[in-house]
Amino acid sequence: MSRSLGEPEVVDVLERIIDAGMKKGVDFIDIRYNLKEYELYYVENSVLKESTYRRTKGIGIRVLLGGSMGFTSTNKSSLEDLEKALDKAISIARAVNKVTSKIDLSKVPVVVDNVKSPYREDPFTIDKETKIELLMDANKQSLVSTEVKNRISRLAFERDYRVYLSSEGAKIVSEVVLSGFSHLSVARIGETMESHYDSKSKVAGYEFIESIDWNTFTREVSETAIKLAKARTPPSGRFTIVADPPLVGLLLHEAFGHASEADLVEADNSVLKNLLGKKVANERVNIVDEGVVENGYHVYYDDEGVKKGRTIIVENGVLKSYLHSRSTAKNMGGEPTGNSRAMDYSHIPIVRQTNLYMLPGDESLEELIRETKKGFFVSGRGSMGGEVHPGMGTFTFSAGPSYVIENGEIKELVRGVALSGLILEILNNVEGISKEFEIETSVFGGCGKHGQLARVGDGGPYIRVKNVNIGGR
Amino acid sequence: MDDLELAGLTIKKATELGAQESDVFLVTTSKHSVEFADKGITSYRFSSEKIIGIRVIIDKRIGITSTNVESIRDVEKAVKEAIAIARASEPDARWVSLPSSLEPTPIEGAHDKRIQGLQPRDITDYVSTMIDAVHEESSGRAKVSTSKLEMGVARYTIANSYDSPISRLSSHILVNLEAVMEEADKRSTGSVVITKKRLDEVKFEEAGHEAASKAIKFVDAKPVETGVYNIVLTEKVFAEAIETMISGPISAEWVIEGRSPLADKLGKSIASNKLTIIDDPLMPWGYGSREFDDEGIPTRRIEVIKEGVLRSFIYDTYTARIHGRESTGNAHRTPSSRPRPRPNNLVCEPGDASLEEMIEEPRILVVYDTVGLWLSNPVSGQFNATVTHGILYDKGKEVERVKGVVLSADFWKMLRENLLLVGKNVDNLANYYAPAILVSNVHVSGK
Repeated sequence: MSRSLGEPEVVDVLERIIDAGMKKGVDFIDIRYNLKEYELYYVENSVLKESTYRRTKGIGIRVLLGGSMGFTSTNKSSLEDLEKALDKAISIARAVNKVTSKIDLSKVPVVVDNVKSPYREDPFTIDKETKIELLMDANKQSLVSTEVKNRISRLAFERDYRVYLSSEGAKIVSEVVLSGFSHLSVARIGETMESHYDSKSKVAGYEFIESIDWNTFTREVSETAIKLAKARTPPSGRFTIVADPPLVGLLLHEAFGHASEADLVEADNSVLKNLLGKKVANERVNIVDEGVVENGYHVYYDDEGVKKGRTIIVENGVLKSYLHSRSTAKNMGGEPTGNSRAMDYSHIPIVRQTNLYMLPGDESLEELIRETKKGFFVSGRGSMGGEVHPGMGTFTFSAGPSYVIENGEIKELVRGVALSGLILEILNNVEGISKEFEIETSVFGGCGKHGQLARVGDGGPYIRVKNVNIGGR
Repeated sequence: MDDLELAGLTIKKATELGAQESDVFLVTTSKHSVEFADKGITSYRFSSEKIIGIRVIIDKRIGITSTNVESIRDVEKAVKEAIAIARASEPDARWVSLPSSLEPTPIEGAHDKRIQGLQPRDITDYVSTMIDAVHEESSGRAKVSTSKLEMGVARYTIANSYDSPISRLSSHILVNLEAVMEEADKRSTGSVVITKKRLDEVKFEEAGHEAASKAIKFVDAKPVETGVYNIVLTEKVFAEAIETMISGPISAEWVIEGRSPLADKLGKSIASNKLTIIDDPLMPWGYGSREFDDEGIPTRRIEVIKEGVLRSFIYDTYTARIHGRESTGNAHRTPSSRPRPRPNNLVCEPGDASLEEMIEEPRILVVYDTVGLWLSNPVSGQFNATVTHGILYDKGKEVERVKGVVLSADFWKMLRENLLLVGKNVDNLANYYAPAILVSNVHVSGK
């Protein structure tokens, strides 16, 4: 008989499928149930254009059979449908057997746990009218002058509920609630148009939204957009930069984090291959990936049931570890680091970063700027993101509002700054690291890899880097 | 219950619960996704799901919900939630109505039936063919790095409170193959991206050979001197530039909301007269070809830029009503979002230049692959991209292979004042089709 999956029945149904899989002769089976809720409000130029609620739920079944892996997903939850999905996963594992090298999983402690991110006010229970009113007000406030031509404000909430079960006996239930606000303003001065974007998110409930003055926030975004539309673009060339924490976060995530993902290393797609124990950065540089960090995203366990603690990737400039799944750890002789994550039930877990950041140093931001004769103060706030080609060792990203530095002083604002470089050069060129430090996450985006979006946190201190390639005109 | 019936029932339920208007966007997909590398398949996923998006309108207040569908109860719950959202929302004074009729346009090549019947064994054979071709082309010197093959079919069903539901099928194939080569301290990659609807158009063996030969060719690539260069953006690079820099600004939504730099340029020259761009949803087997858009409006060809002159924006129903005209059949949406105008197949018409003609002059940098082009800014027109695979030519002769340099230009100035030649061959990146172009005065930041 078919029955719907409500949360209380989940574990029972999934355990029956695990038993069925073992009876069919698989060597290992794990099952993930995932329920995601996402609420989004979107106001453009004082008009509420979108108020949406999305609910996705389903089950992913992964089997290991004779050294090959098969995976299926379904949003049907009857025992009959799940048995069909299990058979499909087994048939896939058999089909790929001749076209794959043997997969095995590192042994890990079997965990039974139930974890929940902290929040005071569940955002999904707050009146829709209250949320809409807050957003409409903030959007109206951003019309600071007639030079502002477009204003988009968004308010979003996410609940990510996951159940993980394996034939080894793991049983982990986790829930993470994320809340956030974003604003974009476009300004036009004569024929020049420029936009500025900023957002703030936190693993928290509605209390986070109530703790910030969003009217001031949106006004400041508009004012920055106007200043940018009046600003010049920078000259092209190689310069010293002082990067702020959001930019350092982007830089580390794109330029280094991806290259440290063991699946890419294993697939000959990382310039960090064969560099374990070797110097890859200036000796002041220390980089970690940590599951739960204040103001970052919260990953308590990965989607293979492995606890995500703190992984030291670079210590005093030396590469100490890659980020691993159970299979890459087994294959490469490392330890599982709790970095195997799936976007949702319908995707296979792959190696992902969680909160990857640089540890703070002992200089002040003021000192970093004072010691820069000629260069740029480059901000990641308002950046459109970045991209890396880990195999070629090339990365690029766009920066937000940036400033010329001359003789140790901040000067003119510049716009349209693009940075580019080679992974193995950039961290060796770090000259200074501040003690000031920030990490952030986002309910509006994350990291994309192999078609999967993952929430991440990133950031770090302010850093000064020499010889960075700046594109301008 | 089939999708047409489910869509119809959903509309009925919405009306019963008080919706004055409602529409449904129902998507049923099944897909094989395979990731592979030199050692073979690293993951194989088969997924199937049904997701419904429901939009209800009450006194110009709009509520949207989406859910994946296991039973009719999921749909009923989503309809109730959409009604609750609409009642809590602020009215949109510009709202007029949903389309009054739903209608398809016949097209050739909407979906490839063969993809529906694919078995895991077929997929593993395609993967083996690509891996073998990489090894053969390079005599074992190149390996396959992180690569992907995806093949799937989707059924899209549209219903609204004014007309009977309609439905269409679409297929897609994505190949993202990367070969890597390491010799001494040098390392290079070669990638091939193929996006098609029809299996016959995907040459797996050729893709393997191409990826390997590219990896071998670029093993000595390095940055060139910083300076101003004439550059060739090859077909797929220019197609990505069109997607990043043009698809947004030609959307009527961008125009109406003040985001488009082209807002006041209708009827004016915005590019060289060598440039003509049309939106062609009727192209046989075009990646974005479809019988109707995501609101059920029949699709049609739209001349967007004719010989450099901006001729039309693209519209969905909401934006068309604001401008007092008909939708151009360009509504795109996901089940959880409202429709927005986006191109169907944005096609830049070819010129008559060969690559040999484009590189005849001194110091021409031909750009084959980039990263970060999508980070360019379509609002300001600031175009940036980092070259991963380029070749510098001088009077037709290859000088050096190039990587790690940043291109920067004012995109619209580049197309208006610096477009020298348009290539005669066209290639696509998903639903963007373009020839190669030769442009002058591009800033290149290198060593």
